[in-house]
Amino acid sequence: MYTALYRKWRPQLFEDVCGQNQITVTLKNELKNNKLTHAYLFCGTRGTGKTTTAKLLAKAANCRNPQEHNPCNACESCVSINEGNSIDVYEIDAASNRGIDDIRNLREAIKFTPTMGRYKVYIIDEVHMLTNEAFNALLKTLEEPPEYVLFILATTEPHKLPATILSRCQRFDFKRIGVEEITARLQRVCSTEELTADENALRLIARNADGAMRDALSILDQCAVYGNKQITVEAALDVLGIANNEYLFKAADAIHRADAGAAILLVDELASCGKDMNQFIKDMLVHYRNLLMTKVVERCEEIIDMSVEGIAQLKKQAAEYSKENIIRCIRLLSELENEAKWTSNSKILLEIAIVRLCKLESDESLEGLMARLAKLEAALAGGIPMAVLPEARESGSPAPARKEKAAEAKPKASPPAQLSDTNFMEKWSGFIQELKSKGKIKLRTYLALAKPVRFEGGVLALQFENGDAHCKEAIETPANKSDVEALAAVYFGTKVRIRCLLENEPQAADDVENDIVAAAIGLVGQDNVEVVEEA
Amino acid sequence: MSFDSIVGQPVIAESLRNAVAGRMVANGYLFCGPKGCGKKHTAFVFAQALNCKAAPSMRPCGQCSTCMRVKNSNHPNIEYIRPTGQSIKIKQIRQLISEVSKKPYEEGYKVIVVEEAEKMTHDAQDAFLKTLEEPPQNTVFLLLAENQYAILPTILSRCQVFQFKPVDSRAIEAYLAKAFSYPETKIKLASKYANGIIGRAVEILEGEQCFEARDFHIRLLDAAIKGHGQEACGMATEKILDRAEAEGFLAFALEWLRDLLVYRETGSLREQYLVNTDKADMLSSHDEALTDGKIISIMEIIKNTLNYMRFNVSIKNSMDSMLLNIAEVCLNNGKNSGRPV
Repeated sequence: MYTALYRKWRPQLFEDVCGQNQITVTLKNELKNNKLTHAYLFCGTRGTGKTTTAKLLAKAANCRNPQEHNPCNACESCVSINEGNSIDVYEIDAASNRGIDDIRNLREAIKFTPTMGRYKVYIIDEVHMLTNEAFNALLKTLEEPPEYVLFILATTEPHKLPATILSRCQRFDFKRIGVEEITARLQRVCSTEELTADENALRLIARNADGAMRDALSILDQCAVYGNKQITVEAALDVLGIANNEYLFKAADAIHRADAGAAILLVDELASCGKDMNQFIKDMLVHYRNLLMTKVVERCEEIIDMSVEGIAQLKKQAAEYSKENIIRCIRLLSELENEAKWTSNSKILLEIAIVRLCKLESDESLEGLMARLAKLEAALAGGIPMAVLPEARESGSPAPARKEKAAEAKPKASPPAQLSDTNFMEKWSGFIQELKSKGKIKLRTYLALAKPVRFEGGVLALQFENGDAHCKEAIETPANKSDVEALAAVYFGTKVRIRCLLENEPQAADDVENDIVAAAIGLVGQDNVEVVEEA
Repeated sequence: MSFDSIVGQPVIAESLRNAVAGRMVANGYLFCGPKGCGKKHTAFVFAQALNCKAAPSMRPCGQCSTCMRVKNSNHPNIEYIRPTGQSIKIKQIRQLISEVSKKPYEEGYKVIVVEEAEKMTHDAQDAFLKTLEEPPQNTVFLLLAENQYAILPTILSRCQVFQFKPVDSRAIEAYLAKAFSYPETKIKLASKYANGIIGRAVEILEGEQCFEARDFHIRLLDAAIKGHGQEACGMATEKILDRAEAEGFLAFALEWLRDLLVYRETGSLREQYLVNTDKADMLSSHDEALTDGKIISIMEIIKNTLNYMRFNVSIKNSMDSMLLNIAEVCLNNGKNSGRPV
């Protein structure tokens, strides 16, 4: 029967517990001086050695033949604890036995003295899952248990424990394990398990374990299975779905050159070789963090976990980026990281975000503006002459005065014939919007109910439904009408006259009239014809 | 059914095959990937291989009685846990724990398949931890989940996590061409439109409604982009009735905008990278109508809407406000407010 590496390699000596020296030394000294207290609380993230240390402590406390305060793993007591059938050591899974009744049972059983060893040990794992009542039922026992009892509580979420529990325990916080320590341990595992492993591959695994030994060993297991006991960097990259560092440099380069096309192709290439997009987003984030570090920290070798050549490459790339732009990229990417967690299609989000990263020019967020400003300052400092545009561009902020002037000039410049019928209809909703943005809410409300039917010879026919006759009347009042016509002239860039119709109004008269107007225009030209309606 | 039938996931297939052949089966596996990516199929094949009677390197043979029974889902060694109602509850996990302590009914492995594992409640996941880490001999847990981030890190660290990757559209195309007899153009489109998910490609091929839905989505989005907000709302009210349809539309809209960006940025190479290749004329008209700023604002609006839906804002309200907002952004000449509603 095969056991997962993380179970097989559970440390059997205090010295083997990785990266928690402050805790193991303290515990050993307590054992040495016979100063064990009755209640311990171990907390820390997953895979840092809480349960392992708890078991070690249980064994060491009961061992008949301790080796320098380590359990011997050979005596009757140690063996029975290792096999999980000791009658003095209870490993309670608090997550599945979390009620007050379970604690009451514990209180019943605690009265009896240990049968084999010195201590009766209760290891309560995942203790944060006990119910409130269960915690309270435990309080008195936890504070003053019989002298032969040792409580070891272990949890990943100490903030869920009541303060009354916390204050009764000696608390040990397990910290995350460093990359170096994990790598060293993985190496030891590999040499004993007869796995051939590349040092860089192990380092990669250690980095991706996020400080948890169990994660590291799980990934190692996975790589070993995939590569048939050969652990290469490629196998690790495949299993983790990570892209090579080169891709990160290429992507950052494309972003710097604002070459969105190249960036999209890059993402596509990554996806087609089966890389994990979420992982790539994370890696990009780390990459930009590294770029930032090379810029702000003098001796960045100490905080960036990378080879010398890698750091040199980082520095080269960082020189091209401004600090503001890096910060902008980090902000966008961290937003993306969060969004991508909750969607099933992170590729699309990544592509969209990467195009956005490329478009520094249209980024109007604070970071984007800062980055653009920095670019400008750099250009000015370099002494590049800035071309001064004689006129502000169209898309600039629309100062009202200027716009009106432009509108006056426009009709002359563009012949009215350019505005075709369909074109006009499409622009109509835009006009309504324009009214709103100019604050002519009343006019907008009336006109929203109208339907433009046709636009011929400078006359726009608006149709109202029968029920909306009041709107028609409102629009037809001279003041409103001239107002609308003036605004329309500005918006459409041509003279517009308005004619209102009701839905069922016979249109024959209209058509006759239009024919007459058309004939008149044909005769004397558009500019000289004005249709005056008689009330 | 063999490991070869797992399409487009070479790493996963190879790992599982080696695990069976080399007797390196771990106690917990987590298969993650979007709906339709083949998690369940993989779990089936793996369960077969674990209990198959053929020589280790030949497993699963697909012919022995074990394989047949697994295939017809009546093998006693294989158990399924599914959500009852909205979630997998702590009670179910407790039942499972007591079940696991019994020996397998036949020789081989006891395989527990937890479907939709992300629906385990927080309590249920905590209760599962100890058993998952150190189950009795010959017990294997297979957890299937759509999203690994919805699962506690303490569970993740106890499993071998296999993330199903999106399959390259060319690979999907090859597979579909081999497995089905549909016209080539249809297969091409389906494989592009599937977003790298095999199950989705098959679904698209088998049902016409996917194409119809897409046509409707394009019309709806077009109306909003042209600025006819009210008209778009009307269309949406008629057709988009439930959450799944609304999410389908949002996913499509994001994809469409992505296509727009690709259309704009990749130039002559675009054929290869567009998803909606057949709608190039529509794309080009939108390409002219929208500035970069507008596209980005529209995307923000859509993402906000996705968020609202996740927090259970009514479908109609969020759809309507989204469509009106898009219309407003498109009408405002160049000025994008893009402010959240």
